[in-house]
Amino acid sequence: MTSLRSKHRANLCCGIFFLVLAAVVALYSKTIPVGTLNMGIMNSQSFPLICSAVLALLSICLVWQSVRGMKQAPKPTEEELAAERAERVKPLRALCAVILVGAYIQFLKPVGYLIMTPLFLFGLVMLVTPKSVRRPVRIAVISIVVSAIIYLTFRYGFAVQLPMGLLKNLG
Amino acid sequence: MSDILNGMMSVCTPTALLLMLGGVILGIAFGALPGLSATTGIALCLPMTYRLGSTDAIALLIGIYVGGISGALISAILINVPGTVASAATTFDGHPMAQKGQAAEALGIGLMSSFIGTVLSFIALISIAPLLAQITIHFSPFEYFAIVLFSLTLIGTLISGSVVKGLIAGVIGVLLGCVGVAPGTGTPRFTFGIVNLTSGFSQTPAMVGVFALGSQLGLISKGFNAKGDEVRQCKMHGFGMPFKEWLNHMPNIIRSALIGIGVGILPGIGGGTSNLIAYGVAKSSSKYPEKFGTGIPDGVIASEVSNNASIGGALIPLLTVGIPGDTVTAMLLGALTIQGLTPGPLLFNSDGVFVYGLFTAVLISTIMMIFVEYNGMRFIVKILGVPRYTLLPVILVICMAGVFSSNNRIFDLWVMLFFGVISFLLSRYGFPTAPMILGFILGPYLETYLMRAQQLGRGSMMPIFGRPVAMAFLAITIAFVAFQVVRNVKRAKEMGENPIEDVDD
Repeated sequence: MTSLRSKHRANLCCGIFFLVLAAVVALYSKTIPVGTLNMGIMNSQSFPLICSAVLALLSICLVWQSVRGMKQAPKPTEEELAAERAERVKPLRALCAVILVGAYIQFLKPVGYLIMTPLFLFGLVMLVTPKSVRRPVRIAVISIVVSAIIYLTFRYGFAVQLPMGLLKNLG
Repeated sequence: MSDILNGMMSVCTPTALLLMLGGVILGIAFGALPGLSATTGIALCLPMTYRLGSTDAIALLIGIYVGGISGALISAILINVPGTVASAATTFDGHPMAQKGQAAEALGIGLMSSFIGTVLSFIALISIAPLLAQITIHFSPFEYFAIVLFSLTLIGTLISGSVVKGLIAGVIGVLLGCVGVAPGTGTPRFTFGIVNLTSGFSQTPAMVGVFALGSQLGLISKGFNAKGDEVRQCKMHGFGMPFKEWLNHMPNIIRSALIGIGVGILPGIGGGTSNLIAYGVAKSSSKYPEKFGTGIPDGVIASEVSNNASIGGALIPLLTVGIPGDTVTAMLLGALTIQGLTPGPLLFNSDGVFVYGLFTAVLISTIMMIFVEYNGMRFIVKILGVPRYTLLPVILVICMAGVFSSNNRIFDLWVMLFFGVISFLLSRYGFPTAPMILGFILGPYLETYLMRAQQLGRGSMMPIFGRPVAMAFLAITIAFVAFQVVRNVKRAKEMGENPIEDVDD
């Protein structure tokens, strides 16, 4: 549970972020070559510029609403603050999952699907399984079996060659 | 006539029927599991459709769509958690019925209502879509530009509590759609020298990123319950009530179906909204509104008829103007593009057999859905017991293998991760992701039609004032945004609160 004031503060940060993004997009759009074809008043820059202008306008609205909301919102209670503190830790798990996915993608081709997938699956299931029911051996077995089934389904069912990497002589 | 017959025959092949059955089963399982949905199911199978013919591919995906919308009622009734938002209102009366020991009756009523809703929407689809296609075939880029703009605005404003946040998400999607070669001029934009970005972000990895990875990151950050959900076992017997009683519910059924079809046709909102509206209308027009919420069939019927009726409704704009009605039809649009088909009025002339095949697939999937769900309830209930902390990573791995196989490119996996992270961050700060993905898909259309309209108007948009249909859509768009803004400001003044107060939840 997040307090109203924190929600407005988060919205304010989002508003500022999108305002900056709109400015960056607009500046970058101005560097796009306009193209040689005559399309009336529209060229390659026009559409991104229109979008960045709309984004900037909407961001200003969000910033204005958030500032107004922060002024009106009541002070958060102790309960709300405690709940907020507890919630702050949770995105770390999502961040770890993103890192795992990134590492999997990075090493999929050089190491190979048959090695990387069980490792990735094991890591991800270990990460998301609550501690009280986490059984590493069972998770390892599931990871190996599932990876093998997926590989066989794609290889022989859909005739898709998944990256073999270090095991390319097996493929 | 020959198109209709050939279309019907095209989905009656053993392969198409098997794929449809597999799709229905997968859809029911995905719909029943909270956190997954028909959209996730289609995201999982979309990359695999590269290997299938157009009819087989659409048979599989329609099966998932029909099964996914209906499957959500099982968890709504048995564990009081709707499998998807499309069955949110089913929990209001479905779960109280289960608590009173009438779980089988509630499931039977929900199942029959789903069947009736889909059949009625099928009738609407086959009667409205060809007629509408006859009209939209005469549309110029001015009309298309106005319709796409209307759709984007409607999606942004209706899908979330905050007009501003919904529209921002939509614009972000449109900007992501700008990556790649600019339409008309051939100039690369926002590619930063990356060759793989020249043709823009591929739709399949982007959608899998949003609907499979992004939603899973959201669930991961919230954490999973070690115990899992407590699921009641139940044995099906009949469809909840005798035929005579079903006849008494006819007004509720017809009204809810009309709401479902109407809401489904509107871009961006489908079963997720129609079930709540239909429930509210059923309650307010009932002779015994006080009984709603205590476990009566009326509430389950209203919710399930309307959410399933949205299926046919959402397919109408996709097939007649090539604009997806909701996230599932956005994925179907991607699937059609993969098959080299361009949805729109011309599809009825150029690929009539395919269109009627799709219509038939909706009907056959509906029959399969009621058969599979009725007879397989025991097994479906068991799936609900599978811990999600094991199931979700497995689904993610299958999705990733599918994304890779669609083009045999590691780059597509990076695109999936990129969209997954953006979608997760947007959701975390209360921005709806559906407008983003629809903006991503519709953005290039908007730019293309704007350019073509200007070409037609010789550099001017003024001819749009001589186009009544385009002007009507533009007027509705402006009126709608103005209405939403005024309503928010008015509500804020009344409550003495800020207009975006209710956004994040």
